[in-house]
Amino acid sequence: MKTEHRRINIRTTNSELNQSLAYFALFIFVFALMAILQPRRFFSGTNLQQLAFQIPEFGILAIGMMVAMISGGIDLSIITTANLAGITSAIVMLTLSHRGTMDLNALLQGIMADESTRQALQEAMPTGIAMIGIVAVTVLTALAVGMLCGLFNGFLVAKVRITPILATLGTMKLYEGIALVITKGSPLTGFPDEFIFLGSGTMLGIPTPMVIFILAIIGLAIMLRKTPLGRGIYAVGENPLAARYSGLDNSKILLKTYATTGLMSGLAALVMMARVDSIKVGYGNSFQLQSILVVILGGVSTVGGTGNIIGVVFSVLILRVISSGFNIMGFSNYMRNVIWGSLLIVVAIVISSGFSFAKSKKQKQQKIQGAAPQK
Amino acid sequence: MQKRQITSKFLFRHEPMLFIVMIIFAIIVNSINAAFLTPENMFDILKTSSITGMMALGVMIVMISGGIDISFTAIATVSMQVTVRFLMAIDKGNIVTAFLLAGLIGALMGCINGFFVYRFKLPTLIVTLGTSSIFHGLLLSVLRIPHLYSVPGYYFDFSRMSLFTFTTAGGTEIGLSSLTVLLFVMALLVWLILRFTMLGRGIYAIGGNIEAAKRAGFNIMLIQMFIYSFIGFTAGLASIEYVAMFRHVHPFNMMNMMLNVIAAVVLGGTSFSGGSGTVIGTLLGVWMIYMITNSLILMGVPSEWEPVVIGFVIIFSIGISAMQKSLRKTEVKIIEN
Repeated sequence: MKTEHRRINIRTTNSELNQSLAYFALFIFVFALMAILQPRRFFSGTNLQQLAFQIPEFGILAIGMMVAMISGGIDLSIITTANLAGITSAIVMLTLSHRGTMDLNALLQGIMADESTRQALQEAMPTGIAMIGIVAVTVLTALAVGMLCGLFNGFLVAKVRITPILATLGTMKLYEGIALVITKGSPLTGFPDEFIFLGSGTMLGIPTPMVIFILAIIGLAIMLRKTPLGRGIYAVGENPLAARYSGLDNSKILLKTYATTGLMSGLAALVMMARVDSIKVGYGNSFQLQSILVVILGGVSTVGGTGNIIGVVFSVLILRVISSGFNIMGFSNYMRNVIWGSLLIVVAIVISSGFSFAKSKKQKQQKIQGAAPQK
Repeated sequence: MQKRQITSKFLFRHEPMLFIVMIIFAIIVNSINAAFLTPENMFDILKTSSITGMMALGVMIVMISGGIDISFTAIATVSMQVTVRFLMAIDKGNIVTAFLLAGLIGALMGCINGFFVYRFKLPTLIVTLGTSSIFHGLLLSVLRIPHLYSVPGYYFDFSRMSLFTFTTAGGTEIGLSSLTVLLFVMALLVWLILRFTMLGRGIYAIGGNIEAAKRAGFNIMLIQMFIYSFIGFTAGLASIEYVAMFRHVHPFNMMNMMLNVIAAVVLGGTSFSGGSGTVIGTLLGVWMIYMITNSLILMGVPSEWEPVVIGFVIIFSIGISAMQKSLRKTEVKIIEN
């Protein structure tokens, strides 16, 4: 009995290793292709640096989407969740750091655009420990708002039993609406340097956003592989009915799944607004399609239950390298959308046919091995 | 026992409930602003909602079959641009050719969706998300000037035609717009198809259980091709209605209508998991959405609140129907026991 279990375990890890190697090879291939096509501009310091700073915000959103899709659902509200989390935390940060010098309305009317007042305001901000405290509060606010938005999605999916597509389509509009009501569509800017560090600073030579991204990957990998919750997410995605009959609390697991996705959106919002020093409704809209594309490219089945984080992370890298290649070649945004859309369908076709093949093979093997251990 | 079941069945029916809610809503809004329940406003809602209504008919059919299509706004935008530009280039044509051409282009693009959905059995969301950005991206990367602010006169002439007109006590002349008439004709067509043809039965059957439908001998390919080309067709018709009503061609405006259309269909009681949905319910859902947005304006609510309200309405209405469904399920279980 025990040896049987072990053998299966080893086999799955082997196939996962193979898969990761395949993704790594694909990444190297794409990287080399770009390098050969445009050697001077692709390898220029600014391009590689830009890549290192731009990958994390998209990557964090994508791994959040991955969690939702493994559970058999989808979250179409990740971008607007990130916008809402960013805007609320920006307001908290700006009001705290301009306490007494500026009120919320002035903030929202965009007085910050004037350079001289802006500098004066920057100088009037608190410094040292007080500022670090404010940044900590900001970070917590963004994470909390993201998580709350996610929890609401999870509530709709798990408790009210709305299909994830529709539930998150509705909340997408809702969160966007709330963010619009708060800001009236104008951008918020003029963040303190201590906060900007999160998006454009470096730690030991590594860009801070990259550090945050790597920490998020490790955290999610541990959650998905080592905790009962992670196993539960896979089980619910694979077969919700079987999961329920084997004693799992499906709705609790789904609640936590969407909360995690929301949390990642909040984190991505922080990185995004710290990199460009502003936040506005509509930032990152193009990531919607791309994040689904990346998750499917990363080997997560479109019906849930399978997939691992390594594949998705490599897909993020692959997509961003291709995207920077488009930048260099001067493709318009519209042309890029055409390419991403075509890629989405092609990848979905390839992966789904590949998966059905693997599954039938697995089933055959199970049939050949017989159901002896079960009996 | 028998009586109780009948009343509960009536309450579980979506359309009468929605109708009652609409009436209550109208009375409440009218008590705040008396301009709401006037013939002018009601006919105005009928006219402006006809574009959404047209697309909602297509979305309803897709959702009955258990799928979702989010590419119909892109299809509408493309067929609008191509049709209007082509007819202007050859300097011929009238409103009928415009509708037919736009419908044909839309149906062809819908066929592409249908092909991917049928041949590769991909999730419909993934397919239509992909084709949506392909269609819209191709259009915008080909066009030099994406806006057209002057279109031939026959579009506007069509939108001003009315089936009948009458004069209100206030002296304004109002009538049932030709746009609404076109919507009613299409609604009747969809109702006939769903109610009396094998094709219609097949659409419901696919939504209920595609495997069972296949075993029962339905031609899945034909049905799915019909479904996706039909939503393309309605999107094409809706795009010409848009040109007729607003007298311009715009590359983005119709893209933003997607969520309202889906909201209207869901509000009308079409089940997202497929297998149920009615034409009457969908039309009621469309009018309900327009009554809500119209009343927000009349009550002086700032326009940025609209997405918040629509978002809530979607969530609330889907939530209610999801709960009705689970209630019904437990009832069935009790009866079985």
